[in-house]
Amino acid sequence: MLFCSTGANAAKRRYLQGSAGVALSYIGFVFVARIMIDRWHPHGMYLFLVAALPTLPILCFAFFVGRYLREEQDEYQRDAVIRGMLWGTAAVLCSTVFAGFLRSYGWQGSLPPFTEFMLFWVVAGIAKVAHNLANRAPDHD
Amino acid sequence: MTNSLRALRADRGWSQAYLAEQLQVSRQSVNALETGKYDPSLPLAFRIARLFQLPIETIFQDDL
Repeated sequence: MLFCSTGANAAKRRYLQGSAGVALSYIGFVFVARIMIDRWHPHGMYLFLVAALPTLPILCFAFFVGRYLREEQDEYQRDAVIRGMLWGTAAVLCSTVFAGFLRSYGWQGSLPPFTEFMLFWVVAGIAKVAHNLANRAPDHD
Repeated sequence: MTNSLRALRADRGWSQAYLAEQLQVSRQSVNALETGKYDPSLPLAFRIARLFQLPIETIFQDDL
């Protein structure tokens, strides 16, 4: 997801495959959790368990990122991916702090449950593309 | 840190793509090294030195 360059190596390919699986299962878990909550209105421990469902793909994602960082031989590319994720993490932190601050002072609304994860990906992707554009290698060397 | 990677590569008539292949990195990485946008780690600097058969300090110079 964070790689826009062609000719991905084995580490990148494994990471992309893993990430695609994570993204799909995240959507699936969010959908299932939403249906379960709407139909059965769980509370207490059951609500905690249902709410924990969409976090499972995120744990898998952490595993795939860790494996990629371990396997990627190109340290410059590794650095670029980490920078992208740093921007994604910053965006998520900013959104949660912003929303939390508003809630503390009376805001009744809430962000949709998948906002943070999507925000992470969008911002990390934009950061990676921006990095690629800013550090484009000339066609002729 | 500055480096003379581009000059050394030109001396040998190597392309960025060839150097990248030899170092097992992307061409974007070689370009970032040559333009000084990225300083290599010690293991990569050693790999570069071995490839050019030169001491590291001949290729990479401290700014101080």
